[in-house]
Amino acid sequence: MEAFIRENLELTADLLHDGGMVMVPLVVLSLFMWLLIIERALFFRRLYRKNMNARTALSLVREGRMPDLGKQKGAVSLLVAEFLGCRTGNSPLDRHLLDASVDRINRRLTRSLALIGVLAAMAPLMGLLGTVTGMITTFDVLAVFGTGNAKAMAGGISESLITTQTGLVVAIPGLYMKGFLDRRAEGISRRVRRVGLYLKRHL
Amino acid sequence: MKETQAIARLNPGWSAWMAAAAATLALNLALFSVIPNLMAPEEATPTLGPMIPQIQLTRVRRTEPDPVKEKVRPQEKKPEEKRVAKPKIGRPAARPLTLPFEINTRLPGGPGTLVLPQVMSGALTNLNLDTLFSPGDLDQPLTPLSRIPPVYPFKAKRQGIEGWVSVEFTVTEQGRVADIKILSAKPEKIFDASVIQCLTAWRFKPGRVGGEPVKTRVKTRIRFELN
Repeated sequence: MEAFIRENLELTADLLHDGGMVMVPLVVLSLFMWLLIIERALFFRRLYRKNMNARTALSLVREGRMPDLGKQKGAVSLLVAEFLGCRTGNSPLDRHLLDASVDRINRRLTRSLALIGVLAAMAPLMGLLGTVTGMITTFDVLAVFGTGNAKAMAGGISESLITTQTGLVVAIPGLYMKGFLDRRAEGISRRVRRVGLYLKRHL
Repeated sequence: MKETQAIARLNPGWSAWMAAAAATLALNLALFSVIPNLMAPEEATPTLGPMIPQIQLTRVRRTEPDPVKEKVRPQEKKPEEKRVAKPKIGRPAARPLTLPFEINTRLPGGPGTLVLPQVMSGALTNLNLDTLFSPGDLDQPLTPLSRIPPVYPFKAKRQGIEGWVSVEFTVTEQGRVADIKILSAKPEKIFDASVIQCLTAWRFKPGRVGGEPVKTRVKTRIRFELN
């Protein structure tokens, strides 16, 4: 097992070396993208589960009692807590404040999702950049050796293909995760908006 | 206090970021170690051909007697020519062989059995992995995975110098090249740097002895020829 891991790490190091300069930004991009993705995924997971229903939320708001954030962790209890934090007791003003709370939570939900999408779309482009630099290397070799030396050309071609492959391997799961997070955010946001409307009607 | 708690839950704290960072590192390592496996060449397993049963040939004696060959007698023997007996000088007269000793029955008897000292027992069990093997000792011949040709030095190319470099290097258990030593070169020192640079990039399928990857010491000669 250990030998297997070590061998894999060596292969990876070889790969990064063979891929040329473009591999460095590609790896950094991948790390940054996955950091954002996992942070968002953990955040949504907390907000998605253990939600209270609208009726409980209403009764809590009427009584002016803070929800127990340890027990009810969902997005709705967050909305109730936000609203209770800033309510005034003046009914028309409270309606606006409730809207503001809903907006604030929705804004927080979609934070950094756009950035994730941009990064995932950038990865194959960066792979393409590596392809171009690899082809330039190949042509440099061609200029020196002529077309006879196929082995010398292979270095540049492999560089270009490695970067393309890496770019795609980074981008494909990234794009999938972007779609997943978008769906999650939309679901949570819809729930928060629905409870917001319900509270507004009964306030 | 509850408010601050709620706001804190909207802005994930350090612990969440740390967890995300750890998961990111693990995931990226897995992801990037998948990539070389996508394009690793399939290991060619030597396939054995169909088993061929051993054939035993037995010559069966013919029961009926051989037809009697008619002997063709040479009619004429050529008269022997030029057989002149040369007198041989200084030739010792053949003597009957005699053994110059007699069996002494009074000597003590030697050991009844012959016991060979144990030489090869356990030679493979305590196989030292640091030993260098030569390509002939391996189970299979050493196969190169990537062998990039050296760069022809520009100076030599311009002056039209051709030549060769004889090198010796070690192929490690991982298939990398180490301990490059230039044995001889003609002309000297012109191609050395180029050879060392290209050799470090070579990869081999590591040599195996008894299934265990071992270090192998290889000698080779790299020729530089202009075409």
